[in-house]
Amino acid sequence: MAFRSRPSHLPLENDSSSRFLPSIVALMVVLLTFSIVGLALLHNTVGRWATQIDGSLTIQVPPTGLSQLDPKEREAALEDRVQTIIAAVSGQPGIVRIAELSPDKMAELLEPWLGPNEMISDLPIPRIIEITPSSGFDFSVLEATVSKTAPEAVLDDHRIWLERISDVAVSVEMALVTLIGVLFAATILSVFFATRSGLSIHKSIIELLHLIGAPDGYIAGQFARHTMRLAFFGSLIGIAIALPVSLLIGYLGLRAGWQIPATLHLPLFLILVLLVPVAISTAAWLTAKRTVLNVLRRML
Amino acid sequence: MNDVVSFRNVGVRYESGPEVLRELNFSLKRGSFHFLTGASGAGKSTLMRLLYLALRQTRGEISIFGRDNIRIPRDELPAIRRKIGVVFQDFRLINHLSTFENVALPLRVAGVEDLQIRKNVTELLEWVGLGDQINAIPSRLSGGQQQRVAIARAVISRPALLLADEPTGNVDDRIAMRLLYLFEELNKLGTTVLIATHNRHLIRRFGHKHWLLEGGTIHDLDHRPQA
Repeated sequence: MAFRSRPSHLPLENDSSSRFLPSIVALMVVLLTFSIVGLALLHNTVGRWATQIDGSLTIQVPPTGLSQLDPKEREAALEDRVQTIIAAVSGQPGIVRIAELSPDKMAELLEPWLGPNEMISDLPIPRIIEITPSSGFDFSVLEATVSKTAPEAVLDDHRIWLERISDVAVSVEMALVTLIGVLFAATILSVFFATRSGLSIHKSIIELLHLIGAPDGYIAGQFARHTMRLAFFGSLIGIAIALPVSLLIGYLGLRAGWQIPATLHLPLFLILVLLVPVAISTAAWLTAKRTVLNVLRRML
Repeated sequence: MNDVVSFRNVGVRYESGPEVLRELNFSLKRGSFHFLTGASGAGKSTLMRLLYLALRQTRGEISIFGRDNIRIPRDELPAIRRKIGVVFQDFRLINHLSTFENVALPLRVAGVEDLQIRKNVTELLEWVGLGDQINAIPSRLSGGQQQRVAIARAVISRPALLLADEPTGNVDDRIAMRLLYLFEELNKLGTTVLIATHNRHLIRRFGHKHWLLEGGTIHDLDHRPQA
């Protein structure tokens, strides 16, 4: 005599939710993964900017009034100005480091725009002094010292615009966190409505199970396991789409010279991404179970 | 406590309508066997629903297995319902499950082991003449066969109280007799049986106590002066 394996008492596989829930979850997981990757990239960038804010003061020393000199004399005069400023500023409290950006480094930075080194050395390019201040540094004292020592020098406080960009980035970061929360909530809501729909469709069977003495947990468990399977399946589809795209973006980013944050380095990134289906299906299981239990509790 | 079920001054009304059942005062003794008759719309199904705890009275007191039905905590209801076997008038079979799985349902819900389930269900299906339909789904069965599946499901867990609403309505006399013998066997093993039926031939043939539900209340025909 042939016995079939034990089937579910609720024919949930035939519900419309069995078709739409994996699609919805897959879409949500794609968006969630992209949001998480975007957040990790942005968070890393904001972190780097934050550290740069502390060390972002420069003094630009232009060759004002030296245009009539030949290049060698001009460079010597400029060097003299730079050293005078460094000597005057070095004594100020709160300066961790002060150094001139070497002509070779300047040439290297300008090469993409102005061509090879030989040409640059002929041009009247300002010298740059980099200052790394410590916290509590008094910018006005530095401004007064530079103004007195070399009135033609320009003091750039990059902290102001870096702070502004950083503020914008933090806002975007918060928006991304909110988006992740919204996507997660939307997934949970989809599970909730799919479960409610399943409860309506199978009302008569649920009532029967109830009347023959099935505990609420028994009925809720069947819904929860089914919903978890659908959510896990949908998550896997989502990951199968999002993961290759994220890796491709990362690869292109690396080629373009991006700094990929440590959190996105394989295999940590893979573990993080693979946790998404686990988190989604666990949340779906819990949501379905709670939804069914709440509805059953209203039955006699 | 010898009463499996006891009703005292029980009344039921749906919303603000008139009472469909009123002044119900009766008890079902452990191991008793009753037939219940009544015209269509007399309230037999409502009474059955009260008995299998799908409905609560609007007044009066109902004691079931010695417990006040209103005061039974919700998490204890499943265990009490598992003591009650119900044959529904509309069978209520699960269409995507086989005959075997439909009958096995109360045992699965109660957590009985697979081996025991196979043995008991197969044996019972053979007994009700459905041994060759074990893997058939309900929609492939005739009305009479579906009714026998519903009966097998109600008795598979040897309930302490068996409630049957027109259990022989769709079967021929031979099968009806056979099913009634099954109910009697269960009754002899201690099951309290209440059968709602229109089949007067069966009532006469088996000679158990006979109640009439009329005017929203129960009349004991065994103690009513014959017309």
